[in-house]
Amino acid sequence: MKFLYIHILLILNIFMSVPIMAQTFTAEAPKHVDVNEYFRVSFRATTSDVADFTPPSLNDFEILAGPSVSKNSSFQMINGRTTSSTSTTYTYVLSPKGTGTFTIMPATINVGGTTLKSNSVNIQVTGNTPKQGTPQAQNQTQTQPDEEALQAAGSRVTERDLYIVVTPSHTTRYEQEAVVLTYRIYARAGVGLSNVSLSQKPDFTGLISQELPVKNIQMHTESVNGSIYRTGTILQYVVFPQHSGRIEVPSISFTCTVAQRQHIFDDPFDAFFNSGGSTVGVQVERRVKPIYINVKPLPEPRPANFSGGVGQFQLKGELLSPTPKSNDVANYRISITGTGNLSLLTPPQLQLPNDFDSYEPEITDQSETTFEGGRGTVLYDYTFVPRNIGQYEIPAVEYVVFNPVSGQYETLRTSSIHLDVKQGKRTNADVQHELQLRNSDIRALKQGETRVNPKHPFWWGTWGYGVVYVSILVLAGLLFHLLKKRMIRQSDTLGNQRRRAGRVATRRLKQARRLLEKGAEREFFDELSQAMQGYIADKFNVPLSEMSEERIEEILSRPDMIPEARERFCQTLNDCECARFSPHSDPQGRKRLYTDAVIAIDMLEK
Amino acid sequence: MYRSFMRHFMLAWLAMVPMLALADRISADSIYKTQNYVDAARLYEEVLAKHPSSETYFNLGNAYYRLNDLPRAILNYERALRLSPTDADIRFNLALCQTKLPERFNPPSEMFFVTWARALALSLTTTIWAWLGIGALLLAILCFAVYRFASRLWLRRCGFHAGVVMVVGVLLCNSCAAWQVYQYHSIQRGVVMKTTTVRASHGESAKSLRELHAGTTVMLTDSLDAYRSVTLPDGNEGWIEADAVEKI
Repeated sequence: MKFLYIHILLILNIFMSVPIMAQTFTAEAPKHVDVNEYFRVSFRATTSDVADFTPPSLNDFEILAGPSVSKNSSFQMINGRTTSSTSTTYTYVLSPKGTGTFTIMPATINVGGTTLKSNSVNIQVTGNTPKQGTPQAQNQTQTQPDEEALQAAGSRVTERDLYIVVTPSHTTRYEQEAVVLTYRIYARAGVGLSNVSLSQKPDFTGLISQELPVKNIQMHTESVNGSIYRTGTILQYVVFPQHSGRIEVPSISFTCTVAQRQHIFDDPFDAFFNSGGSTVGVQVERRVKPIYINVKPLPEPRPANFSGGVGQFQLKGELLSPTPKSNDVANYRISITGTGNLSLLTPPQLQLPNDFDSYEPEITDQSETTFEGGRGTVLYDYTFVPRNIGQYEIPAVEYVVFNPVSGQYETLRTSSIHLDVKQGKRTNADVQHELQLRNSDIRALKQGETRVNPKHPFWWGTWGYGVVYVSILVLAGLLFHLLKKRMIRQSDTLGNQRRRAGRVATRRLKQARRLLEKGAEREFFDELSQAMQGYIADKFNVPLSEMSEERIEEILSRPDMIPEARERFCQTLNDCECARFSPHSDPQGRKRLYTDAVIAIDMLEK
Repeated sequence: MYRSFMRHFMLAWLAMVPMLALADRISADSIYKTQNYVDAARLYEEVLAKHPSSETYFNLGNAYYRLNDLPRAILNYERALRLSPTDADIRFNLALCQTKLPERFNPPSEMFFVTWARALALSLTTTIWAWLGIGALLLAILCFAVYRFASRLWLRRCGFHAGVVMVVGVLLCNSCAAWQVYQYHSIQRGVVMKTTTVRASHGESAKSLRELHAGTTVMLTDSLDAYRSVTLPDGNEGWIEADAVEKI
């Protein structure tokens, strides 16, 4: 039972990251609207797999725009849990025709084979002032006169329906002073504008431009010459005029996509590719008229060392590192803070003493482009290395800028810094190394991941490591002990001799037998005698030199010896000696001798 | 049989969990590669909260460097270095960041053999030192066995001397590993996160000795009230506010 419970939990865990939601289709609209207001009605399906959106009848309202489709998908990863959700929203912008309570019936949509219906919404329209100017629906077809406010496909989009205007923030400026160009689009109600983009990047001659990105185009409604238009800012540029005179902001063209209602298709293929016949996007080009900016020249005479900076600035110079010693790498930072053409400034000229190794300044632009132009700080870092000891000066820096507010040239200054350079500890190699390091980039990302327990990230010093050591030492001790025993045994030469006696004798006897079979009589007797005598010598650790009959008798007469064995042995030995020196040969006798010797030794072995 | 199946199932599931975490690290890496350093950094911090590892600290350091946040980059490189003291990449990036700090410290001078010893100890990881030590121990045992049991004199002499050398080797390997482990457990260091004043003693009214810029690595020696006693990279000591420094 417990395992079943855990089983279920695990399965739930697997699917926790992918929540399975039932698909819903909801309609949303405000409950109360003023008769002069416009409002939005949206139909939202919690999936992206949608088809055949069929809106309800919207006869009670003027359709200013719609349906516009937006697909939304979000994917979140929080604390290891991932959630993803997608949705599709159809939005209409409507304007009431009159006061009263109206109901927007459910819309239907096909989601993965099933048809879902939205909820119906009730809207109460109040207010008394009659509207000014009824929005005209253009080019309505006879078949659907009241419903669709969008243009039918194929109808012309005129200049009055859709146009773009550019507005400069200032028409008169000084050279190098920022001018913000704002491009706004006006789309008449009924023109379903879905996308605007630049056809080509403009060529601003005489101007240095920076685009101010517009994140979301916010459209709002305006009434222009009695018609209702939807308008919004599509693009903004900050431009800095580079010379005086009348500078033209050239005309720019935009490509606009207008959605036009497409009718029911006869051809099923067309219907398929156009989602059953909703809208089709038509590309329209729009050019913006050129405008002119009057650029006032900077007052003459210009100072000789004018930097080109126009705006309100402050200059600051500081030595970042403490007073350097010889061969220390030091940093002198000049910062220019303020508003103006910050990105176009020329670096301040810094004349460091000849004795210093100096390098090109590193420029860090910490400014951002805003409506007033550039605002923020630009840093100029001058790296230098004093090579010798002595007294040096970092000179004061002068920077001439023009302040358009006051209309005057201003000279900004830093103060000079006195350096007392003493002997440093670094070598030339250190300096080279450091400078090289400074100019390098960081090494790339590491792949892979070695998991460590932060408390014991190392194997050394853990119990496991100690166990390995101890076990090695214990094994070594055992090994030594065993080997020692063996060594002792090996060094016991006398014991070894005793133990080997029998084997040696057997070997010799075998050799004797071979000799006998070969017919080498003399050698046979030698070998036999040697076997027997050698056996006694080994077995009782008696040196061979001491061997004699008496000695043998003596040894074999020990109390722990079997008398029979002794007799036999001595007899055999005797016989051997006799047969050895006797002139005549007796093959049987020899054989018998051999056998006797074997038995005798055998008996003694026991 | 059902029980053994469940056991295997649960073990497989548990084995998947670290793989899922590595997947998080890999997705953070790919976010970094799209130059979205803010999100990459945030994701790395999340991964580190569950699974600290020197590679992830290193990557997080890279992300902060790209965002021009030098103190945080240095802090994470130091954390990575603490877990992998021998990694050359971490050292390089850390040194690079330190050259961009406004203030450079001259380390206190030390005996040359101290520098050599430290360089030696840091040349190999502790695991390699541990295995070398074991290898040396086995060799030492072998040499002493030869010394004890060999019959020829020259062999025994060789065995003895080689054995002594091996024992020295064992001690050396273990010392190097022990030093690294000691550094990890006992030496407490921190990185200054905001420019602060170093004072002679713990207290706002104490004499101020100097300014300390963010990004400096200091050794933390003592703590009292809301102050910590630190040793600066040039060997000088002082007290700074505890919240200005973050432990490695």
